Parts: sequence; structure tokens; C-alpha cells
Amino acid sequence: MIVPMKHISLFILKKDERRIMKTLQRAGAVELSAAAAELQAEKEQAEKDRVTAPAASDRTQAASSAEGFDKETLAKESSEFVLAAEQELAALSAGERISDDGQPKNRKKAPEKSAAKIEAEESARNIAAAQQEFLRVGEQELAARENDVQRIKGALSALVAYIPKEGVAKKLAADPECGEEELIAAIPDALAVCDSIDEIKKETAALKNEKERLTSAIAQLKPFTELTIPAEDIASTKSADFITGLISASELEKLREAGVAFDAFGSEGKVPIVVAVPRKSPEETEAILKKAGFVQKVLPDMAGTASENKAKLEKELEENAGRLSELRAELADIAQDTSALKRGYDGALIEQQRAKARCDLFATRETVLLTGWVRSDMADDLEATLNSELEVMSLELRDPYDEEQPPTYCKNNKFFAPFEVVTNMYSPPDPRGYDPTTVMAPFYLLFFGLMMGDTGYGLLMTLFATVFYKLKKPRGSVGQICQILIWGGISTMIFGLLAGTCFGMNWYDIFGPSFPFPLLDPMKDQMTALIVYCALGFGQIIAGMIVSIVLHLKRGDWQTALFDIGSWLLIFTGAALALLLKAPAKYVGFALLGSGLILLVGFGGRAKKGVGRVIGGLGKLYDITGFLSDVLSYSRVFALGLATGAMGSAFNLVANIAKDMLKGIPVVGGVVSFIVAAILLAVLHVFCMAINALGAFIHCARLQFIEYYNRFYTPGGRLFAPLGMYTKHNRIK
Amino acid sequence: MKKFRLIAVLVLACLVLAAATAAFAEGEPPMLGAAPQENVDAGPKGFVWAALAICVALILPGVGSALSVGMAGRAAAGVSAEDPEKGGACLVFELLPATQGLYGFVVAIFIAMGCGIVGGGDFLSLATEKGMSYFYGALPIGIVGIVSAYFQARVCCAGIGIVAKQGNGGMGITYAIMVELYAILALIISILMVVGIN
Repeated sequence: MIVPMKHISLFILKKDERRIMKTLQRAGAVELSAAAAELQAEKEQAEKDRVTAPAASDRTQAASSAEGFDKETLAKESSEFVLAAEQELAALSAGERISDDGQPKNRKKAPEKSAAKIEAEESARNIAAAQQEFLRVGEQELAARENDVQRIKGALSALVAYIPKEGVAKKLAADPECGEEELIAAIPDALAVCDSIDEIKKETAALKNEKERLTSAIAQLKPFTELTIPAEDIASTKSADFITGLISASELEKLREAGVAFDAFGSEGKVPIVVAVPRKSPEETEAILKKAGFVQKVLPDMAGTASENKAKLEKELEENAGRLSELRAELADIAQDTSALKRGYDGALIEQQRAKARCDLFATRETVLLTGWVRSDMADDLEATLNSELEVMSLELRDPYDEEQPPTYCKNNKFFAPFEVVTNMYSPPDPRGYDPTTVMAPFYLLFFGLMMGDTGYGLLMTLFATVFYKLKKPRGSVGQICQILIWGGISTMIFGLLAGTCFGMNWYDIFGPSFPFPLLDPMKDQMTALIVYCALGFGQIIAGMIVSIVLHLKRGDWQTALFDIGSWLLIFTGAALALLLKAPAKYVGFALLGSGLILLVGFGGRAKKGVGRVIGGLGKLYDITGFLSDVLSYSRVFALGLATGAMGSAFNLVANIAKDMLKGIPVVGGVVSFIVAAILLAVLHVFCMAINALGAFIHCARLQFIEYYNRFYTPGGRLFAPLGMYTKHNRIK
Repeated sequence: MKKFRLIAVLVLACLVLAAATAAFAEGEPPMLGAAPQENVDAGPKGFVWAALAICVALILPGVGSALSVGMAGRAAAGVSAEDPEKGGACLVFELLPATQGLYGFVVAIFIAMGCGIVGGGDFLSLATEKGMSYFYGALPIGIVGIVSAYFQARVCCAGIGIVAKQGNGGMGITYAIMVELYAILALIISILMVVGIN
């Protein structure tokens, strides 16, 4: 059932606005539209109306003079709206410079620019300023709320690495239930946690920089640890510069022979060395040093010996590492319980959604206009709530105009509702069309069961889906798919018994050859199975045509119903009777076939005249190819059903072979082969079930979309997305 | 296009092999017609053809599915790197072209059970003509499987693009499933042929 939408336009005082937005969000019955754009559209419409029929009532006028609009401020404000509209219209018609009778009008009108008009312009400017101000504040607020959401989201993702590993039981636990107030109240705390996490992040980054610095400084000092002279003592004198560096210990002797004054420390490998270079002729010493492979290394600016400094730096590094691990521990501590943060996130989401909706409002100095769509089944409740909460308001509910496209909301009972997700995968129904869910779900289950066709897998699927659904309580489309899988599993169990297998085994292999099931074994009677499945598909196509006839008749379009669709039904029944039955029923069949053909060929081209009509009618006969390919498309049911059973039996075979091979192992062979076979069977069958369930789900949906909906469905709707509380981690109580 | 070339080569090889088989089946009796009794020790070579049939049924769609799942998987990984929440929707697209390999597996199992390689039959005495027929039975799913998997993967990659932009696959899944019909038709014919040969 498609719930019709009503258009809502609500004037309220500005001071009530925040309170009412909260009420609307809680009710979840209104989808807001941009009020400014709607006003603009109304103005344009009003102008059109005035051009075509000057006496026609102005919609803006009607909106503002609605009942309940009695208080003085509101009356004043509403007249401002009207004035603004009038003024703009006047400007438009002046701009065109053409009057209704086609004479240039501008010159005549110009001097008459009255005081009223000036006043109107003034008031229009005031409204525009008020709207701009409201929008500016609203957008600022939205930005702030979005910032909150992003910050908490960032904090949660920073904590991911520290969250303790969850057990299966916890992963399957349902999202906690929480009151709205509780969520909103959690925001400040969550933001405080964000602050402290930001602090920790900042400090961590600083500490990591420090660590880099310390490590490189230590590396710089490392070669000089044996240099026992304090750095401040290596100062240049009047006649010599002292340079520090590294040199191989084996070269020291050569230096000494060359008469270079130096002091080396240590005796193995590269050793630190302090060389005195005479200021007067440094070239000679430098050449000797270069030859000896001396590498100059400047000591860092420091006091004391290198090893003292190194020890100091190492201590600092240790402290740094200690602080880092402290910070990590702090993060891990916060990550122990993220539920408060998650509550804050959901609270921030609620606030953000409301702030976003507020940007759709239209504001004057004293009032706010809200426009949008409301579910007609909730309109009365909403009106009552608003009446009880507000002293001053103007509420107008009306049915959508023909040119308007309201959103679509489908309402079905508990059994059918999950199947909406299948329809929505294709496209939500047109809001003025027909919700196909109830006529689709039985066929969906039928073909899903046949495609899976294995009682064992059906049982497994129902079990898994039920447990998941009961524990996790998934929301949205996941929950809907879960419910479809539960029902699909039950259907699979039934059709597995009628025309399938059980965990890839044939029924007569389990229960002996006298077991009456399956009634139809697609492994043995391929052609029969193929024909039966295609016939079932044909049945679905006929059902689609009947639905189409009913819908056309409801709309009063009996010609399409009879000539284009009914004629085919006559042809099919006639052909079936003529082929399958003996006289005299055979002649009835021929009669039906003939009348169907006459209707189709005679009236199929009724939209055209003359020769075109005859050709159009004959052309309709070509549709038979469409029926043929649609029916053949159902052969996939046979193939997928067979594939499930064959894959299952192949996996049984694999496990059996593995078991036989492992049996040969002495002593433990029996146990090992049993365990390996059990594990193999479990893993392979779960995989087989999953991949076939995916295939069945999608192929079955496709059959509905292309072969079934093709006959009667009007797609093209847009899902109703009311202002509400859409949370991620918590369910609203 | 490298993948496409690989697929084309594999398919062509199969077709050439099929043509050669046909020539062999036609040409053998006249060539050896003069002295059929002398050829006693050769015996029927059906099991070789049956083994080839199993290989064709498994290898071609298997290669196709592996290529295709790989292609779609890379696209899926790219999208879920940006937004991990879209990983689930991407996974559906990645798995769609996996089915051809499974169909090939099913046909291979049918052949293996039919000719007795699995299940302890006397497959060595399989008649040559019967073995060749198995080979022909494996061709539809083999060739259609590999080609349809490849093209389905391209639709799937585009579908993953829809996920990246819109958050859910929408009609993308239906588009991808359209390609699969031909693999399913080939599977039906292959199974009917193999079961008929049994």
C-alpha cells in the first residue's frame, strides 16, 4: 500500500521554531522541502494563474489567509508575504513593458508608482534581510554541528586500534537502546573526551618529534664516546685550530710520523681524534689528513664530554618512551568503554540532522514558514500535537497538485514489509502508482526456494538469519534482507523436499528408494523440471498481466485492459484449451484463440488511422517474442537449483575422498579422518549455502524486475525521507 | 586488453581442438579402414577425451572467474579504502562473476561422475565417441563461461563505481546479472548434453 502524501505548509512564530523542529524530528512524519524555493514556485504559479484567469485565487493569498492566522503579528507578516509577491509581480509585468491588451504600459504606469508600492518594496527588502539573517545563523549552526559529528567520528576512529578484541557474543549484541535526551546529554562529555584525545594526539606527535631529535643526536655523539676531553676544552688557540673527526686506528702511526699534532682515543677501528692544525699553513696538515682518510665531524654544541652528553640524551629518550607508553595507556583506557562516545556521536547526528532541516525554512522577522510532505496517516496526529504545543500557528494540509511529485512511502504488514527492499533495489514505486510488494512476495519466495532447492541449506539459512536477527536486531535494509532470508529459508526447506536435495544428498540416498520425495527430481527429469519451472514462470507473467488489467480498469482505461492485455490472455487460454483438450472443449479453445486474435489485431493499432491501424495491429503480434524470451528466462531457476544440489554433492564427495585418504594413517587415522571430514563439510557447505543464497537472492530479484514488473509496474518514485532521528550506534527508545 | 587476448587465445585453442576432434572422428575410419583388426591393442581412448572435457569445463570458466573476481576485487578494495562502510555492497559485486567458475565445476563433476573417473567406474573402457561427446558437452560452459565472466566483471566494476558515488549498488546489480543469463543458458545445455551422454 502506498500511503498518500499531504503537502504541509506551517506558519509559526519564530520563538516557537526550535521547539517545533524538535517535535517534528521526534514525530518523524514530515519531509521538509526548501520553503524559499516553494514560495518562488508559488509566485510563478500565481502569475501564470493571473495571466490565464485574472480572477483565479492567488495561492499565496490562500496560504496566508488560512484559518488560525488570527494573531496580529502573524496577520501582519502574512500580508508582508503577499505584498512581497505582489511587488515582485508588478516588477515583472513592468519589466515586460507589455500590458494585457498588448500596449506599451510602462510609460503610463511609471508616474503612478504609489506610496503603497514603495512601502511594499520596503517590506520585501525587510523580508529578504530577515531570511538572509536566518539562513546565515542556520548555516553557521549546521557547520558547528557537523564539526561536532566529525570530531567525535575522528575520536572513535583514533580509538579503533586500542579497542579490546570483541568476542562473538559481543559482536552479535544488539545496539543499545537509548532515550533521545540521554543521547543529546552525552554530547558535551563526548566532546570533552575528544578534547582529551586531541591533547593526547598532540602530545604524542610532539614526543615523537622529540624522539627523532634525540635519536639523531645520540647517533651523532656515538663515535665520540671515547673522546674524554670535554667539548669546551677543544677551543682554538692563537696558533692552531683544533678539528675533531674520525680516522682508522691503523693510520695513526703514519700521522705521527708525518709530524701532525693530534690526540687520538681508543685503538681499534675508527677512532675519534682531535688534530691541531697550524693556522699559518693548514694546507700541509690537511693534505696529510686527507691522505690518511680522516673524516671531519664537528662536535655538537655542548658542554662536557661526549659520553656524558650521550648518557644525558639517552636518559631523556627513556623518559620520552615512558611518556609515550603512558599516553598509549591513556588512549587504551579511554578505548575500554566507547559507549559514551558513541552515544555522543548519535546525539550529535540528531542535532546535525535538525540543523540541516532548519536551513530549509523560510523566515521573516517574526515568523517562520515550513513546507514539506507529511504522511497522510500521520497527519491528524501531527496536527493534534502541533495544536497542543502551539498557541499561534497556521497549518495548511492539502493533497499534492498534479504537477508536484511527492515522495513515496509504502506501508505493508509485518510479513510483506521486508520485501519492499527488493522493490526499492529496482526503484521505489511512483507515488501515484501501485505498490507491487504484496503481489511480488509470494512469487519471490516460490522462485527463491526453487533456486536454492536444498532443505539442508534452507534450514541453515533460516537458523543463521533468525539468530542474527534476534540477537543483533539489525535496522534498515539489513534487517529487511535478514527477514527475507528467514522466509526464503523456510521456502527453501519446502522446495528442497519437493524438488531438491538435503545438504547435496539425494533424498532416496538418505531414506531409501521408497521415500516418496522429491516429487520432481531435476537431476533425473531434466526436461520435465525445465518445463515445469518455465510454466511456473509463465504463471507469474500471467499474474502480472492480470494485475495490469485490474490497474487499468481501476484507472478507467478499459481499452488497454481489453485490447492490449486481455486479448493475449484470451489467446493463451484458447491455445492451451485447443492443444490440450479434445472436442468439444477444443472448439471453445479455438473460439477463444480467434476472438483474442481479432481483438488484438483489430484494435491493437487503434491509436492510428487507416493502413497504420492494420499494421499496428499486426505489429502487436510480434510481442509474442517478448513472452517467449521472458518465459525462457525462467530456465535459470532450473539451472541454479541444479547447481546448488550438484555443488553440495561435489563437496560431499570431496570430504569423502579426504576421509578415505586419511583413514590410512596408523592408530589416529579414524579420529583424524573424521575431524578433517567434519571441518571440510562444515566450511564447504556454509560457503555453498552463502554463494547460492546470494545468487538466488539476486536472480530472483531480477526475475521480478524484468519479467514481472515489466507488465504492470510504474517505477520512478523517491523514497520518503522524513526529518527524524537517524542514529548509528544506538536505537532510540 | 591483455586479459581479453588471453581469453581469446584460450577460447580459440578450444575451438581448434574441437575442430581437430571433429576431423579425427570423421577421418579415422577411412584412414584405418583397410585394417581395423590390426589396431586391437589401441583400445578405446574415450577416457582421454573425458579427462580433457573435465579440464575444459573447469579451466576455462575458472580462469575467467579468477580474472574477473580479481578485477572486481581491486575496484572494491579501492572503494572500501576510501569508505569501509561500502565494503559490503562492493563484496556483492565482487562475488557476482565468481559463479561461472562454479558452473564449470558443476559440469566437471557431472562429467567426472558420468564417465566413472570419480565413483569408481570402469573409465578405461570408455568408448572414444562417448569421450569426445563429453568434450563437446563441456564446450558451452567452458567458452561462454570465460567470456561472460570477463564481461560481467566489467559491468561489476562499473557497478562498484555506482556504490562509490551513491552508497548502494541500486540497479547495478541487475545490470551485472543480465550478463549472467548466457552463462546460465550454457550451463543448462552443458548439463543436458552431459546427462544425455550418460
